[in-house]
Amino acid sequence: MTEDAPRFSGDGPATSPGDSTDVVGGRVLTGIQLINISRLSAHPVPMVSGGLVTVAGQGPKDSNGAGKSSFIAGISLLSGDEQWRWSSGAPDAAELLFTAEIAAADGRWGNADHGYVIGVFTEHGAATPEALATSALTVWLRINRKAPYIDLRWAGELYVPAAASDADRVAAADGMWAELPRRNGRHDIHANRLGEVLYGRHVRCVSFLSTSVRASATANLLAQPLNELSPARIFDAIAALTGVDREMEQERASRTTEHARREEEQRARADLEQWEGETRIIEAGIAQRAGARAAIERAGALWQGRCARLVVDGEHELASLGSEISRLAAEWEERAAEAGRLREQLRDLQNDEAFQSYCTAAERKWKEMSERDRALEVEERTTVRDVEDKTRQRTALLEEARAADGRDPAQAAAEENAANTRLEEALQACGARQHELTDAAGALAGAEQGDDLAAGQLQRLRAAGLRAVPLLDSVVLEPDQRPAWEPRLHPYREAVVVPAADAAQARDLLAGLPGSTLVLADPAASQKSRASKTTKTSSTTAPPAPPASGLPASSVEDLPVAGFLASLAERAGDPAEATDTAARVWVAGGFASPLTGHAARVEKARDRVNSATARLREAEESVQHARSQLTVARARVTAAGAAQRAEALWEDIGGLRESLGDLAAQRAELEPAVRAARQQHAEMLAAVQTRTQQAERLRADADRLEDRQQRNATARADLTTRQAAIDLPARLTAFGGRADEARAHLLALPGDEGRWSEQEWTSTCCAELDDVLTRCFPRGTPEDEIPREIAGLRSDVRWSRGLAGQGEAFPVLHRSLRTYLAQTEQEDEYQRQRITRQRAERSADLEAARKGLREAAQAAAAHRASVAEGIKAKLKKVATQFDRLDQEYGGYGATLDFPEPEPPAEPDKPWRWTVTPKWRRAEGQRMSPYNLRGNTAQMDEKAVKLVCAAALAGGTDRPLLLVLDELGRNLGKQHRTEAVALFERIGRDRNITVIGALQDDMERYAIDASGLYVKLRRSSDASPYNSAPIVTGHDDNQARLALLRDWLAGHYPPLLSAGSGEDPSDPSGSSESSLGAPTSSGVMV
Amino acid sequence: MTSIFEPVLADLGERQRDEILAAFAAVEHSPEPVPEAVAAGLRDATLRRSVAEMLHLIGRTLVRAGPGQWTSGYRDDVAERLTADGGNPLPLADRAVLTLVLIHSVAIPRTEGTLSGDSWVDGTPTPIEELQRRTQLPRGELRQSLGRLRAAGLVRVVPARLRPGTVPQNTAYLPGPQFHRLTETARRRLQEELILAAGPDTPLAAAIRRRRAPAAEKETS
Repeated sequence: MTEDAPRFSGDGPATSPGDSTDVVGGRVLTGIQLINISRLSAHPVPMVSGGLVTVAGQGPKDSNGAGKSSFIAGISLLSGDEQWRWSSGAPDAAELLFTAEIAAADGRWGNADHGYVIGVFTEHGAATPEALATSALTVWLRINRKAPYIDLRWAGELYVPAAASDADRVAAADGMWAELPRRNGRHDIHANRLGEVLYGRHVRCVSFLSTSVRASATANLLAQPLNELSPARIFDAIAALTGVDREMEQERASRTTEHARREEEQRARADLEQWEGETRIIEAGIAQRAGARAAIERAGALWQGRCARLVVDGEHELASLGSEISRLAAEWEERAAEAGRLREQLRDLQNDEAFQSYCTAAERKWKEMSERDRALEVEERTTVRDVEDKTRQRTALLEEARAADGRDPAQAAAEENAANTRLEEALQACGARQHELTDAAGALAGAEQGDDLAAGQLQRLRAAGLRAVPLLDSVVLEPDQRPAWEPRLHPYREAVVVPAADAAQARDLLAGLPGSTLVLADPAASQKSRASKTTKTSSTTAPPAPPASGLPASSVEDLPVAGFLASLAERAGDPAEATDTAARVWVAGGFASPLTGHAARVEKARDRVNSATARLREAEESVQHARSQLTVARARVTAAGAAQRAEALWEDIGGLRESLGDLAAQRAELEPAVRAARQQHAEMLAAVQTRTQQAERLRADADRLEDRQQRNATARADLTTRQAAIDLPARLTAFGGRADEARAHLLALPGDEGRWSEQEWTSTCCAELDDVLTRCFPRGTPEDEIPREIAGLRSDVRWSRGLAGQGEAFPVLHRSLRTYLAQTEQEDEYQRQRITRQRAERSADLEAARKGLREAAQAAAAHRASVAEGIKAKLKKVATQFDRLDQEYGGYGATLDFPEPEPPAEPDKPWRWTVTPKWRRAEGQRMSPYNLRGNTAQMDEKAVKLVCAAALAGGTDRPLLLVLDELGRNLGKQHRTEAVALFERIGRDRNITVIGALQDDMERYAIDASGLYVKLRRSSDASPYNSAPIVTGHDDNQARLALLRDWLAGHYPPLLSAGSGEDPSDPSGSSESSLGAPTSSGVMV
Repeated sequence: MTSIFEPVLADLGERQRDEILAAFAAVEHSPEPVPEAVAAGLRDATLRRSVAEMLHLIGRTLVRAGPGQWTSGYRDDVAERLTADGGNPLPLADRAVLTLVLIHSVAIPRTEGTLSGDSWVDGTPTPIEELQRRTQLPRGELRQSLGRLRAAGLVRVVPARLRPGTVPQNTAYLPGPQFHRLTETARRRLQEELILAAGPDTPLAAAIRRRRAPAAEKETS
């Protein structure tokens, strides 16, 4: 392309590019080219206007998948169908773009991120290439995958990409787009202004699009069965088709103005009300302060009266105080003299020396006498007690002396010595007997335990665990054996019997004990044999010896000493001659008790103990006797001494009795002197008493006087203070004049005010000031809103507690309040003026707003009335057309019901019109409303008629496009024929183009009736893009179609012009008709 | 989402529905107020009413942000319930910084009479130095806080105003576009709270308390 930008800008309407509207105007669509839209090929497709245009498809299997829906969607997009939601930017348009995945070619091709819908518009009647070229307008819609979804440009000429192949056309498109000028200043026009710019908001298209292309959120006349639409929606659709919606919009605009006025008025009123509310508070404050100003002046005047009263009262009081003070002073002088006299007398009384010395002498004398008398008395009493003591001692001693039994002390001492000697002797004897007894008892104990014989040896042997027995214990002697055997055994009395087997061990044990004697018992093995042998041999070896049974028995069974005894018996001779003949030893016999045997020896020891005990008892008795004799002797010695001491005491008592008599005589002598001294002393005491009382009386008098003086002085000081406190000059200053003026002021006061006390004045003043305070700052005003000074004074104890203190707080508070009120006065005045001015202004504003509202409301109402008339007229025309169309095309008559709605209650509420289509279901029947259930085909038919009627009644010269996917979807055979004929005829008559996509089975109904037949072809699922479409015209349209094709192909390279003959279905006619030849020969008409 | 709006949209035509939804989306999602001129749904009072009704359904309301300017905000009753428990999504530090900006940029100029109207968006820019001087936060935290506030649209950065004879200032801050979303009641309450906080003993504060007292009494009774 060699065209440069200035050419385009010159082509357009004379308006500046920014505010172009209705660019297309009355032109009709004569050609469309889609680039990167779905899988459609990029060939330009000629279009006819008026009549039926059918779009068929030829996919790999059947008509599906050839892109019919996308094709007609592209047309509806180009025609600005409202379904695309232009205000939101038409986001659904992006779904029309080629998407590899949907085309089942995502391995080989990428998604298209933008595409173009290019439409060529020309004048309706243009029939020559020149006329076409002159009126041509090429509109480019660029569809983007991301926002903004739609960009719009156009050129005032035929401006389409022409190239030999799809790829080249696609490639050329971007460059050509870039060449087109932007139509919105530096930007492109986007979706939201598309309808306005291209078609001036005229409805050019009503469509039913298959949901496979996009899901319609709302119903429109063709998209849904008619009875699913509400009457209001039907009205909207008709209004859009007839252009009434623009009038409605104007009406809404006038209501918007009314609404804006109403808001203004409301705002002004609310503003005024709020302002009034706030102002009332301010005005109330101002009024309060004005009242307060008057009140504070009154309070000032009252205070003046109080000051005058104070001056006059002060004068009177000063005079009375002066006289009182002088009277008190005179009294004080008088009493001072009397007090002095009394003090003098008292001093005299206390300083009398002669009286003092008299008192002292009497006192001393009395003390001396009484002391002497008392000393004598004490001595006398002591002597008497001595005599009594000694007499008692002597009596006791005499009692004691009676035990002397007439012996003198010397005799008694001699007897005592003799008794002592006897006791000593007896004690010694007793000791010897005691010793004997102890020995005997020890022997007895030894014999009882068997330890009396060979005790040491036995102990050792038993400790070593050997069996050992004293010999004498082991031998038992019969009485007749004793004379013979006791001498024989005596030398062995210390021997110990041990078993023969233990002999060696026993010897070792006893080696340390010299003199130990061991006798070995008979060996255990030979005991029996020996016993028998003994009996056998005894008769042979010891003829004199007693028979074997003559041997003593052994007391210990397991230690028999038969052998030993036999030996002894063998050696013995005649007991009278020798005990051991071999050794020639003789031992005297005749032991008193048996020598052998344990019991015998114990018996012997016990006898010895018994005899020793008897002897000891005798000795102890003699000791007892000697002791009693000694005791008696000692008592006699003591008694003899006591008799001697009693004698000495008797002599002492005699001496003491004599001295007692002397003392009694001395006391009698002293008696008169003592009595005189006591008398004198008593007199002296009485005199002292008298004097003391006198002094006391004097002192009390003086004190009483001084007390009075004190009180006098206090009273005078008090009066002086009061005098000073009156401070007449200050009162005069406060009053602001002289005393006589004050008096005159009081006299001039009205009523009884002249006689008011100061208290009355004060309370009246303070009440007035409190009123001022309350007016300025009503009760409950927070502390922080009051000026700090006044707040401080108000909360001051003196003021808030009332009573006398208020008088003092008054001047300060009065001054502060006055200052405050003076300060606020000017501001209050300014505020008042401002309020007055503003009130006037705001009222005027409100009035103006009200007026504006009234006017706007009137204008809106008037406008609405005219619009309503227009709408009714228009709808009536639609109804007429509807009826006519219905009757012409197989109906029984139809009409529209459109009651005029009430104007909206509020300007921003919608003014909702409704339209109810009605038709006769059979000849001569009543009109029944559309929402009565009927068959679907009838609904669709009526809908189409209604759309056509609306378009016809609209009265505009604009061509209308009805786009219908799945044309005749619900129709039976007869209906299909009728419907197709209807569309064709309506279209041809009324400049309405019906573009319908057909299913396979509709083709044969449609082909005959179609003004234009477009067949989209796709050879196989493997190819992403379609083949070139086949475009065929009806007989009547053939010539025009050829013209258009030539013209559109004017840019084509020459090779195409040859192929674009009368038979466009010829596959050879287009270089791109790649694979399958177009099969439908039936397409040809 | 569409379902709850259906009562509002049911009877509308394709285009009106489209315009209303576009306007709704614009006021809800645009950071700045939307001029009437760009959205037919706001220009027309009838459509605007529908937009307001839709907003009402989700607890929001249409706020006029100036002549021909619209945005959306929480309804006063909803805002009251949302904040009834004292909850506040902003951290304490951010609130402090935002308050500083509000006081310096709007409250002080309004008190001085150099700023009229009840908008919280315009005013004198607060230079960063002022914030650093007045705040008790460490600098790093202040910067972070400003960053968060800016991201939330609660403050915006303005180029420093060059006055002859003064040293050029660094960055300065103004309240952000989110303040457009305050309703009139909310704007007024913000102003009153600032007055009550800054000058409790002023006649203005007294007037506010007096005005609020009867309202509170009415509520309790």
